[in-house]
This record gives sequence, C-alpha cells and structure tokens, in this order.
Amino acid sequence: MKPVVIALSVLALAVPVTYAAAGGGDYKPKAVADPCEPRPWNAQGGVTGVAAQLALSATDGAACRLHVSRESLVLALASRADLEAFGAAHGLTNTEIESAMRDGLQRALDDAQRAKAIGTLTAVLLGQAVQRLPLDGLLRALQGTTLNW
Amino acid sequence: MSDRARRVLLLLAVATALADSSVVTLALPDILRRFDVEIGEVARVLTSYNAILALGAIPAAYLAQRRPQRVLTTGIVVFGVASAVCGLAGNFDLLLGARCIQAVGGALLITAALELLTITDGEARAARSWAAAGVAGAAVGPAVGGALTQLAGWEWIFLLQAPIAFAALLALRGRHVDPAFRTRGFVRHPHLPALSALTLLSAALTAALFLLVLLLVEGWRLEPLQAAVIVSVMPVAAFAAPRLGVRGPVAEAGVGSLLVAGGLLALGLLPGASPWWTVPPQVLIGLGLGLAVTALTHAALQGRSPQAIHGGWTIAARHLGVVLGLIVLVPIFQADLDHERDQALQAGTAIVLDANLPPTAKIGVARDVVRVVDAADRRIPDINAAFAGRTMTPALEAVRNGLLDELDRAATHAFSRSFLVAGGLALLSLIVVLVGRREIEL
Repeated sequence: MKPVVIALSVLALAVPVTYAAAGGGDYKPKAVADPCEPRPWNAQGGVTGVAAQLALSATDGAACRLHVSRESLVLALASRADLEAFGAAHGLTNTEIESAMRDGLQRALDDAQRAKAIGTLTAVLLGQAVQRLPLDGLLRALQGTTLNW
Repeated sequence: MSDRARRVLLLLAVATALADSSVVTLALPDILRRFDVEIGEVARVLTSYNAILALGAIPAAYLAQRRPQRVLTTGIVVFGVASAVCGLAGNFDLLLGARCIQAVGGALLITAALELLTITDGEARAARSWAAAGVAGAAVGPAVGGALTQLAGWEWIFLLQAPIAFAALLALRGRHVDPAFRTRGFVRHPHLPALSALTLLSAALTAALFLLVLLLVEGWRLEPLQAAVIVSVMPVAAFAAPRLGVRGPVAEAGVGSLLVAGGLLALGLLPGASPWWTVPPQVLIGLGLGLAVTALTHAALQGRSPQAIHGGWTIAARHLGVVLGLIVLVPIFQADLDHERDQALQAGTAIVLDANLPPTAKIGVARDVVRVVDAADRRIPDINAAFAGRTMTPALEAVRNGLLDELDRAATHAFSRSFLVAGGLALLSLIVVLVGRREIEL
C-alpha cells in the first residue's frame, strides 16, 4: 500500500478519535440536578426572596416524590393545562400530583425553619394552610411566588 | 466558437444541473420562513429534485443515445424555464412542481451532454471531464447557494441557473452531430459494485451537504454568507484531492470512502459549537468526495458503452443515494431535535431558577425566554431577543450566556446521531468497494 494511502487512512481515523478525546461525545445539554439531593438555602431579597426559595424548595420536594426533575415540574406549573399534560405524560393522577406538592411544600417549610428563614409559629401556620388548600390554591401559591411563567 | 469554449459551456450546464441537488441547502431556512413550512416539508425541495433525477436518468439516457443533440436542446430549455419558474414561484406547491420539471430537464441535459461529449472528445476524455463537472457541481453547490441567498435572495439561485443553462445552447449552434460517429455497441450490464458504493456514499454525503448547512445556519445562527464561507472548505478540498497522488480506482474509492466516513464521524463528535470545529471534518469529506465519487463514476463508465446509458446509471445511483440519505437521516434528526429541545428547556429552566438574580428579575427573564421559545415554534429560538432592552448586569449576562451555551449544546447534539449514521453509510460504501475491488479495478 502506498504511503499516501496509509497517511490519508490514518488521518481519517485520527480526526474523529481526537474529537472524541476532546469531549465530543459529551457536548450536550447539561443534566439537571437530582431534586432528591439537598440544595443550599439561598434566599435573596427579604420576604419575596424567602417566598421564592420556599417555592423552589417545594418543587424540589414534589419532583423528588414524583420521580421527575424539578425543572419539568416547574414548566408544568405554568398553567392548569400544562399540569394536565404533564400528568398524562408521566402517568400521574391529579391526586398524586396534589399529594406530592403538599409534601414538597411541607419539606420546604421544614428546610426554611432549619435555615432560620422563618420562625416556628409561621412554619406551623403555613403548614396548616398547605394541608387544607385545594390543588388550585396550591398552584396559585407557587405561581404567586416565582413560578408565574 | 472554439471546441474548448463549447466544452466549457456544456460542462458548466452539467455542473449547474448536478449542483442543483445541493445548491439550495443554505437557502432552505429562508425558503422555510418565506413559505412558513416545517423542516420536513422544506426538505422536499431537495428530495423532489433528486428523486425525479434518479428516476428519470435512465429513460433520459436512452433518449439521449438516440438523438443527443435534440435531447440536449430540450433538456436545456426545460431546465432553464423550470429554473426561472422556481425563482418566481409565489407558493410552495408551485416551487415543488417546478423543481420536479427542472429535474426532468436536468436528466435530459446531463445524459445528452455526456453522449455529445463522447462523440466529440472520445470516451475516456468525455467521462473524465463529465465526472469532474459532477463532483464540482455537488461540492460547490452549498457555498454558491449560500452566498447568493445572502447577497441577492434565494430566488436568484434559480434565476441565475436559467442563463447558465441557455448559454449551453450556444455550444450547439452551427453544429450537427453525424450519426456515423455516434457510439454504437453492446450495452454491458451496469457496474453494480461501483453503483452501489456510489449510492451509499451519496447517501452519506447528504449529511455533509444538507445537515451541516442546517447546523451552521439554524443551529448556530450563522448568516448564510458566513456559512457559505465555512462550507467552501469542502469544494476546495475536493479540487485538491486529485493532486494527492492516490492512484488506482480501488485505492481512490476506498480511501475516499474512509475519509468521508472519518469526516462525518468527527461531525457527530463535535466538542464545541464553533464553526472552526467543522473545518477538519470538512477537509476529510471534501478529499473523500473528490477521490471516491470521481473514481466510482469512472469505474462505472470505463469500457462500457453507450456512455450516456452508463452515465445515466451513475446519475440514478447518486441521486437515489441523496434521496435515501434524506429519507434515513431527516427523521432521525427531527426526533433528536425534539428530544434536545426538551433537554435544553430543562437545562435553561435550571439556569434561570438557580440564577443569582432577585426573584422579580427571574420572573421577568423567565417570561421573556418562554415567549421567544414559544414564538420559535419548534425551531431554535433567538434567546438574545429575550434580553433586548434590559440593562445587562453581570448576573444577567451569566444567565444569557448560560442559555446560549445550552442552546448551542442542544443544537449540536441534535445533529450528532444523524452524522454518525451517515458515517456508517460511508463505511458501508467502503465495504462494498473492498468486496467488489476486482470488478472496480478492471
């Protein structure tokens, strides 16, 4: 075989191998974080900031319960129709989503209390409200903080 | 008119008709927007032309063998008029219809030109120049189309084809082909190994001539002219290929197929969203195109007569390959684009949610980002539009850059599997060359 043929064959193999070694196979959208892993409490901007962090923490908790990403749940919370489409896509009933959201909000209140972002009395009162609010009320509570997209 | 001038005009018309299978690739995003159609639909501007050319090449070759001069004249007129109609089309259906007629004219023109060149120049020289015109047309097509799209509008790609085709009529003026000099003889069976390899290689090259252009313009948001400059690497490499010193049809076809495969696999493994990353793979693909397509076309024509009919087989094989490539690759790409869109949306949501911004600013940014994503309607959104009119703080800048990075990652990865599959098709072509090496060497 002629040297030029060998050289071109080596070149044809070297370029894709180099690209793979440079991380070509991994150049894709970054994976989102596991909602079941704890995140640091990072409230900014006074009461609004605490409310926003509560909502984020609540969606983490709910997403963890539903075995979905926090981001896909946040996108589903944009409207009732999006939430129904999300439920259909993941085989979840309204009751399961509602229950997960209540658990998530409760977990967020616990996290906020541990981070001393809210007092014990506030946590108890909000916890009672979370257990009694209907699904639409829960949705509005979340949308009213950070998620009204 | 000198024989040389006549030959140049004829070969220019052949190159134009063959360039037509890829010349509109950089214009597809503009055509898509002009007629408000989906990516899958706009691909029919390419598939219709290639499918009709593949189906029409053999019948056209039989006609061309009987009456080359009359068939060539008819082909030029049909191709020229249909090109003008494409350029003036007011709706998508008319454009598609004119493309089909353009392909009929193209099939007549290409095969009759080979027959006429064989009569005037002899088989070997005619086959060499005709094959070279075909490679040049295919390789130069996307770059020329991109430049015209930006400088004058996509319509001018077609409007300029008409005078180029009609100029070839000058090559026929005052010339009468004596039937006594026409190639007569035994129609040997088509060269199956060469034609099969040509089909597979053309299918693989569809990714380079169609998907790479879409990645540059739609994925990475380059202007058509910028993309045209980037993809001009391929024709430059294709023209340089004969100077490499690779000799012998099997060596040329084999190493050419391997180079195309290497280039396409590298495009499937891009480590970043810079157009510079596409340059080395394009060099490989251009060299491979120049070596393999020329060698396989030669092998399919050499020692076979009439030339027009075997030329018709090569045209049918090449354009069947393009159609096959589009049929296989476009659905893969569309499915991956939908998947990557969801991934990018989640990654983008995480960036906004975790941004170091006040909650009210997050809500505003999120609303505007969702607005541009919705407005993009399954295409790649213009994220910069979501930040227009905002005072850019470092935190906001970080959010925008993060979103643009995710978009680049998603767009690049959406094309990845299609390029890898195309690389596999080129490797199949290599296998066919190796299996049929004895027949190709003859």
